[in-house]
Amino acid sequence: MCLICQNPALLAGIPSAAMAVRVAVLRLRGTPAPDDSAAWERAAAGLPACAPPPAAER
Amino acid sequence: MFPEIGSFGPFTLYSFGLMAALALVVPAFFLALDLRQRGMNPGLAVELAFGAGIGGFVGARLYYVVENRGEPGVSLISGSGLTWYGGLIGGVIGVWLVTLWRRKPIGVVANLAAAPLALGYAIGRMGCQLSGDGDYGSASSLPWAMSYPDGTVPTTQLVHPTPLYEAVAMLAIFWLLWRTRGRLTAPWSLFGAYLVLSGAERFLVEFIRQNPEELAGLTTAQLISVVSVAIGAALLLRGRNAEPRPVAASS
Repeated sequence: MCLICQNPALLAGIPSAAMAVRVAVLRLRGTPAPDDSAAWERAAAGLPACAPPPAAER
Repeated sequence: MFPEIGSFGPFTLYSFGLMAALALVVPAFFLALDLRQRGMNPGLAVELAFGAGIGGFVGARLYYVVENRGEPGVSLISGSGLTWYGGLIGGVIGVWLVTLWRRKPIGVVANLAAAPLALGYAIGRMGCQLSGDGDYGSASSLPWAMSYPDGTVPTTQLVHPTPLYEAVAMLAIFWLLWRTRGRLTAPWSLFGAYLVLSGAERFLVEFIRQNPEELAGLTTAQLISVVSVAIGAALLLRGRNAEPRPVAASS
């Protein structure tokens, strides 16, 4: 019996590895990842995704 | 029970393995959807799922092998044998490493992972039910009690189908977390809710499972669940008291 079919760890690793390879290939082709830093900054500040941000303190 | 889905020449496809794979892919899809809705790059979902999958399964396997050391036939590359809490520790380490690599705030990533984690657990438990892998409950005379004569750990006794209970409960928790993800926005708070709800679910289901009591009449999983609920409640309180920080307006 093949080890991959016997072991769910390896079986589950296959689709995730395939997805990771796909992303890596897209990046190698030069497809730029969009700049999402503002969205991450908002989330780190505890703000909902779509609500307007409060004014920055000066 | 369908421990084996089918044989294709020398290959045998096991239902638990298939559900374990789905438990990784389906939550990754929801994570990508959430990232897209938040204006973040959905490609991160693949990297996080990869980290969680590899770390989770290595952790689950290591924990199982350490827990059952000395027993015949137990080794790192032998057949099945996974332990959830080992998987949780390994998965957390895997996600943490991806988060460090991508320089993302870990509290936000934890929130993003909360609902998909519950969904993955529910799908994994469906795999347990299909394979009859021995995590069923105590004897029962309820109308829905069932036996697992063809399971990988068979029993002919009518028992509580605890994998089904857990799958249904965790699907409900997934739905709740998915619906509230726009409200519990403080870093770590949604993950705190996950720890409280999933810890409570596991604590309760252990009363009708067949695991041995370790301390004060509680099983190891219940003791870990108590810690999970306490940490989750602390994270929720912390998030509730935290005011949203101002964000500099982008030009």
